[in-house]
Amino acid sequence: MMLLAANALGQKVSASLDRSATSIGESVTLSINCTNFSPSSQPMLPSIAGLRFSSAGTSRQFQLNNGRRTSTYTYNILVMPLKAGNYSISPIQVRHKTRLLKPKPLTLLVLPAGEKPKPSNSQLQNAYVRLLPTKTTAYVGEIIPVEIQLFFIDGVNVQMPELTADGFNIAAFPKHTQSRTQKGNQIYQVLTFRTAATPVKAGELQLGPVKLSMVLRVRQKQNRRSPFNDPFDGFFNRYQQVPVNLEAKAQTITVKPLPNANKPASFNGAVGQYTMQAKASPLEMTVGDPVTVNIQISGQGAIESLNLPKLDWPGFKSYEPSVTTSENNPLGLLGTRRFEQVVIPESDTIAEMPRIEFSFFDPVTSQYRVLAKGPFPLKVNPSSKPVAPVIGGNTAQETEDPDSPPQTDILTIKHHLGSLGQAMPLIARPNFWLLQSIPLLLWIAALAWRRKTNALANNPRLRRERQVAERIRSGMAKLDALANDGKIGEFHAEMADLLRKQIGLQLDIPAEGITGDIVHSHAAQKRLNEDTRDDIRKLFTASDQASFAGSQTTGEMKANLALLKELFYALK
Amino acid sequence: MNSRHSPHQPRTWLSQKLGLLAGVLLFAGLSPASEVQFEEANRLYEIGRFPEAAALYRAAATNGVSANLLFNLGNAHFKAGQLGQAMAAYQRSLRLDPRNPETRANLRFARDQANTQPPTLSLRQRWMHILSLGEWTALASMVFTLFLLLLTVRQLKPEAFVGKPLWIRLPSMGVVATALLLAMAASDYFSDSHVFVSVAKATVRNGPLEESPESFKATDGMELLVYDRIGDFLEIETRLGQKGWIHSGDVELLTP
Repeated sequence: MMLLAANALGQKVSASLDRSATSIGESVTLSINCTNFSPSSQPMLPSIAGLRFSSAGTSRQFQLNNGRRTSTYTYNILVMPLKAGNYSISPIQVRHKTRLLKPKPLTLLVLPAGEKPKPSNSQLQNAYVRLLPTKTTAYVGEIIPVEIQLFFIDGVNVQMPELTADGFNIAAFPKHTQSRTQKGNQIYQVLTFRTAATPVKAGELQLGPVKLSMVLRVRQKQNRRSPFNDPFDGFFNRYQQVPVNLEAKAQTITVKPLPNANKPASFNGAVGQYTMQAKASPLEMTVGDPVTVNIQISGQGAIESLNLPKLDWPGFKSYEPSVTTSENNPLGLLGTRRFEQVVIPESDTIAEMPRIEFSFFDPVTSQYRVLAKGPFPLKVNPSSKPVAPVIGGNTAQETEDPDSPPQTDILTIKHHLGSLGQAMPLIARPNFWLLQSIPLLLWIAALAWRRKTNALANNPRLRRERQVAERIRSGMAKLDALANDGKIGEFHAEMADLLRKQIGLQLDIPAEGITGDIVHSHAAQKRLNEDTRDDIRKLFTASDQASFAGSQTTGEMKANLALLKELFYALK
Repeated sequence: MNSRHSPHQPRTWLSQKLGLLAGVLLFAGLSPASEVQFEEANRLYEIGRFPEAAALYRAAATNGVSANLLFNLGNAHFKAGQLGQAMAAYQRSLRLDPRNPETRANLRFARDQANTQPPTLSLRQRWMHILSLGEWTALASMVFTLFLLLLTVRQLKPEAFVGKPLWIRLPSMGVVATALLLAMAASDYFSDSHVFVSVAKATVRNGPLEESPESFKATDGMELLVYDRIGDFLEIETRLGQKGWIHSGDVELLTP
């Protein structure tokens, strides 16, 4: 919608809304276009309770048309509806120099929150949906194939159709098919969704409506006289994305009840058209041996829900059949259902297996039909011992000892509680994993120890360092005791030995044979400072003197010991 | 008073403490009250008060379970006419003691009464069911521990292993094999989604709502396979291939 206010100079102002209807909370854009002039100030908007206006920026456009230049200055204003109602947006005033230009009032319909405005006719022409049941009259339980066709010119985000069908069971939608069709001059894309509706009660039932939402891509109209449009049509096309909710009206389906007349006793609700095959094997067996009956029902109808009447034959023990279904149609309307039934003759007087009967209602002929196979002649040989029912192909844990008599009741309770444990399995308990980590930690510790040991074994220097450190630690304690006891000879012998060990390590030479003269060696000169060399000399001299003189006081020995400690400290 | 310590005493002390720690860690939380409840439930069973006995067995099972306790619970349910709950209890008992012939016989008998067949198991599953998950776990744990102890000894005394590569290779193969078997057993155990119908006639619906249309009726003791759960409803399939949604209150789960 676009409304204009113009003068003879081609100066005009127009106002438009991007759509005329919205709902609370969904903003619309109001555009005020000033052609061939620049407004002196911002447009003045009315104050309307229920609508809030906020600026969304400006834009400027120039066009050349037959040598005439046209400029358009556009104010974009966001209109946020806060209250439902029908609004007239007026007056809008635009000042140009001394004049006030007023476009005509705009109307905006605001619907309550959540309600969607009905799509415009043009949008309906762009897309529509059809609901096409294949029949309008059916019997209860009869499958009605249904097609939902969506026609649209251009669009995205097509949602799955929502089919309302009270009184029907609706099958899941398989993947849709896509095609194109022409209607008039327009090419439509067609998405076809197929499903099956099965009426579960009689009466006039409504199938539908069907609702479907999508986003249409609608080409915006442009000024056909614009010089930009003609040569580059398509390149400059602008599309607007419009979300739409499409709906097809409900169809009335007349559902007739299944007739009670001539209903077979074996009828269990199957509606459709079917054929049946059946065979039993083996036909000769011993009492208690299983006979497998294979029954195959093929045809058109609700294949997946076909059930076999219970084979409750006297003289036979029967088990639940195993069932497989193969469908030849995505909706499961055509296919085969196979039943494998195991029965066990309990007496050798049985001469035949009763006939197998399957009945269904045929909606085409409106009649019940009964399919039957058999009876099957059997030769049942007597057994020499009581036979327990054992099913071929069953689990090992269920296999019974063939020599045991048939069980007539459950075995009685146990009187010992047994070892009580937590219901949670061992493997799921954190404590188990905690315990399990202990041997792992032991191994990691052993691994670390082994690496350390190997490192020591492969490093003689490190090994010697440790041996000397150990020797000095024990030797210092011994020296202290020897000094206190006054054992001069042993004290000095021990001290000299410790000195030799430490100096040998320091100078990386053998400890044996080291004397006080070592301080004059090149290695000592290089590696030991003057004070250290003096201390070494003093200690060796004191040791030599004490050895020769054989007398020294405890105080002197303590002094030597203190000097030795200082020396070792300095050497470290 | 002086006590004489033998050289082996510290090792004995350590093993005692480790055993105590293992016991505390693995069996913490079990109550002797179960024994009393078990005896009382047995008495109720003997005088024919089966529903009360079943309730008391269940109460005892909250403090810890044993194969015998679950076996008796199954018997009490069976005698009370609750086939589905009985079969679930027997099945849970077999999970702890899979080779117990009495439990297998009673489960088979209950299945006969419910006129249902056991689920078909593959050869691998049958073989895996020879041992319980706990036994598979213990076996794998033992082999793994032995392997780690051998590795530890090899670090401490490598000379003892010189020329004997099989001392490590064989246990390592054993670790791999038992770990694989344990993984398969655990997978079977935790992915087993069987339930038993525990009411006389359970309504199976088309959808997971009370308002969903009825699809079919399931009878007491029928074994169902569970695929999904939404709210109080389980999506199930019968052995006949019929699918639908059943209220979780109408079935007995194998996991308590």
